[in-house]
Amino acid sequence: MSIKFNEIKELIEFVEKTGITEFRLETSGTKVVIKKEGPVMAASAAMPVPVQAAEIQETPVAAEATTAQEGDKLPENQVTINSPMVGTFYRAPSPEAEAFVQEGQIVEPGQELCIIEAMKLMNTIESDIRGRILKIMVENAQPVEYGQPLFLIEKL
Amino acid sequence: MANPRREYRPDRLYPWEVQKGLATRFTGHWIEYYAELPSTNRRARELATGPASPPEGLLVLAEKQTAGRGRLGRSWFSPAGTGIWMTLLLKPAFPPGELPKLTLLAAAAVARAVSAELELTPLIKWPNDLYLDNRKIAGILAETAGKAGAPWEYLLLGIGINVNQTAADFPGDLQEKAGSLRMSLGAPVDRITLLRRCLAVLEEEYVYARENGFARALAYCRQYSLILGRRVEVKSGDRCYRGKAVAIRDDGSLELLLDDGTGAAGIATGEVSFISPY
Repeated sequence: MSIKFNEIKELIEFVEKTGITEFRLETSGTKVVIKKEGPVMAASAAMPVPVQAAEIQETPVAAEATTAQEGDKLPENQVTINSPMVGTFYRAPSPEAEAFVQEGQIVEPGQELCIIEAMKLMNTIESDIRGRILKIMVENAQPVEYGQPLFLIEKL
Repeated sequence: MANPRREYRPDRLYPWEVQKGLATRFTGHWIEYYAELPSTNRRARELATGPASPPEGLLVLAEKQTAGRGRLGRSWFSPAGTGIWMTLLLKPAFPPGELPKLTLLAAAAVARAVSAELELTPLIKWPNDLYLDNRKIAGILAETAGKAGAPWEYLLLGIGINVNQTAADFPGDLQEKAGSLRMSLGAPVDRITLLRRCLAVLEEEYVYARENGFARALAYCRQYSLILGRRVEVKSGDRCYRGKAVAIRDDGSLELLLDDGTGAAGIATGEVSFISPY
């Protein structure tokens, strides 16, 4: 089965609209990998993240085992803060309140970043490092999975 | 239930009264009591993160909360002397993914305590509210905080129980929705006796779960569920799901059979409301 150019274009548009940073599709003999660029720097919070590359390979899947791994690694000075549980992500302590943090902001260890709510357990997540928030990777009030990256932080 | 022959004591949740005959190993052995607090959860959080480093089982009690909270800043009506407004500090050594089940465990424990103490059977509206006669009579709001990646050092179980309010005590917008044990029972309830029982059952359920997991607490939540088998709408973050509530899963989430025919969905967070059957 081969994938048409239009279908790839649609996929790219779809991925661009979501919080997904990487998308892979494998069918027999075809592999599509779409990756978004890593950090988007502070001031450009509202700007859509550009889709950096769409690799299309009509080669057998097995031959392409290692390339995808390389892009997964963050630069050494960057870390993500991940969700400790399945739940809903909130950027503020209440709907009227200001967000705990903004992109570009410098946070200290122990500073509150967000709340993950699961079954009426309000779980305030604090930063474990000093750093600058490069990207808030989830929209407010969206469901998150266990281990899902929430913040991309540049260590300072 | 009110005992007309009991000795006189003021209707206050004084620690020395609560602790008299309290059958627990650690719960409520340290009580901070206030005539009035903004919120017991807030005070307990100050204590938990402060230099005092209180032990597991610390209880913060207030006769009245001026800023009692439901989730995400919604208020909880908690006037003086009529209810039990409290926060219990736990130091649970569960993996983070297990912690949310403590909300369900607390709901089951309070329901069990009410059933044991009074001839009433509260039903649980997943995950955290107790109902009698289709009115909310109690709610749980759990809180924890911690550095990303580190194990949580504490968990606060905020529990509000409407005990002796009469219908006229509730403000207009709650008149149809809120109830109390007294309203369902038709007689005033001794708050101290009920509080002691709640603490004993909470500790018993918690210690049991620590050793044996949450299966028993979840079974209680299923057996006395207000919502299983009914058609509901669940607002979860900015999403909204409609369907029939078919199960409470072993991870504590609610399973809906969705109206749109896409199958079952497990929901970890949400406000449940009832909608008419199909």
